[in-house]
Amino acid sequence: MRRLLICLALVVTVALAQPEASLQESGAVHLDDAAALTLPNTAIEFMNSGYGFKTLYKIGDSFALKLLNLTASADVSLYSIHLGHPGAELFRNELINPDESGSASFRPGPLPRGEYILLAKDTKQSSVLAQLPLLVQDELTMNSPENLTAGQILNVGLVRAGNPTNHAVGCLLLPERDYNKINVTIAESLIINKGNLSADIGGITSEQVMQILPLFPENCAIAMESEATSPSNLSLITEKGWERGDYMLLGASYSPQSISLAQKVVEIQ
Amino acid sequence: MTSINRTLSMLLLALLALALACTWATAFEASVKDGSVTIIGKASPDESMRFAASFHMQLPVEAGQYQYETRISVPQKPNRFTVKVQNVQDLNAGVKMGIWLTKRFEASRGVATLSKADVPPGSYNLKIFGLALAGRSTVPVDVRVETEVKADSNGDYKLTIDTTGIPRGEYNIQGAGQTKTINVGQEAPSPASSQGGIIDWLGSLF
Repeated sequence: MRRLLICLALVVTVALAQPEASLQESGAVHLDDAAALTLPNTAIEFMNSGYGFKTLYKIGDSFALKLLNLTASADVSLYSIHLGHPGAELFRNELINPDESGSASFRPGPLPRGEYILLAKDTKQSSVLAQLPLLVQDELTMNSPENLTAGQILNVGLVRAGNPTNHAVGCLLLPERDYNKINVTIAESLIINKGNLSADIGGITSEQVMQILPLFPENCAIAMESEATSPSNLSLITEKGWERGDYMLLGASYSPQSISLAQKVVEIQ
Repeated sequence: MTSINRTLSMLLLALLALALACTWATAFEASVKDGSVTIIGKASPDESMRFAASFHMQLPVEAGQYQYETRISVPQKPNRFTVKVQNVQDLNAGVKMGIWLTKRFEASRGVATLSKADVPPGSYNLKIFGLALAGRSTVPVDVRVETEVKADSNGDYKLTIDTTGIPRGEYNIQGAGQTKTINVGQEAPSPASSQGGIIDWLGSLF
């Protein structure tokens, strides 16, 4: 249940794909996968560092990390991590050399499901070129209407690949404007911030769930199922008085094997 | 023999007196007034008494769906709130706690049950809805709330349960080894409109 809340908190911050991200002054990093999602408002504390975003891939997807403006070879390491727990295991390490234009690519190929951090260092200056958190997940397909009249129920179908027999699912609907104001920090506990409001979740009790509710505006809804099968159908309750406009619909699935996230925009009319 | 009979008779009388005393000690009276049921009774000093209030209703099925909206008053802790629906594929229970929080329960053999203990006392908007089994025109719903009241140092106790707006009908109260049925409530819920989504049925379960 705690992981499901973490999922929900994570998806609070899922944003549309940002395939290009400049991370360091010494160069730039291109993620060669426009289908990836990023989490720009999420910080993951790992090895005493804060990572500002998280990128998600589906199992079987490949991606390439392209480093630009290199003056020397780059040492690229891929660490396997576990959210909320310290420590990491080196999953893959590779030395890549730039071509004449100073660019080099790292192609790890399809990765097993899990959470990773990709570190790229300049071997000459030992400076960090890229720090890239990755989540490789079972694909989670989220089906819902593109628009809805305020006051109706939003029915959401969640289909997770991998045929999980028993998993928890949840979804969250909130105004896009508020979605952009919420920040999440994942460390030993989960810290959610919005303006002056903050909730630190160390476990799951009714009281702790109550803690995060004030972070959300009234025109927001949560639905969940503890022991779901795939496909599962959740229902979000909206009210006639809700402000019209674009809302972010975020979905999460958790099983002991993995978490999966999905998001889309729904217009409330 | 006579001595034995006399002893037995005395023993029976003593048991009868004890039973009558116990009956008197645990009997309660339930009355309905101003949208609430008041339970008054006598128990042993400082004794905790558990009571359960329940009622049954039939929800109409329209376009394969059933739904009901109400406002519930959850009594003091310890408490337990249970909703059981039949002839259904699933049960969605939405509670507004600032925002709408909905939990889905898959039915087993057409029956889905929500049971929650130690719900924070207070008034909540509640919506229950879901898919009915194919071919069913009504969904039987059983609602039950349990709570506890403690007698004072004289053994007196009083418990008030808000029944404003519950569907008109029989309301069962169990406690102190007794079951009492009283008639309370307002008009039964009207059918949902065909707009899709939850319809604004107003009322209260408790």
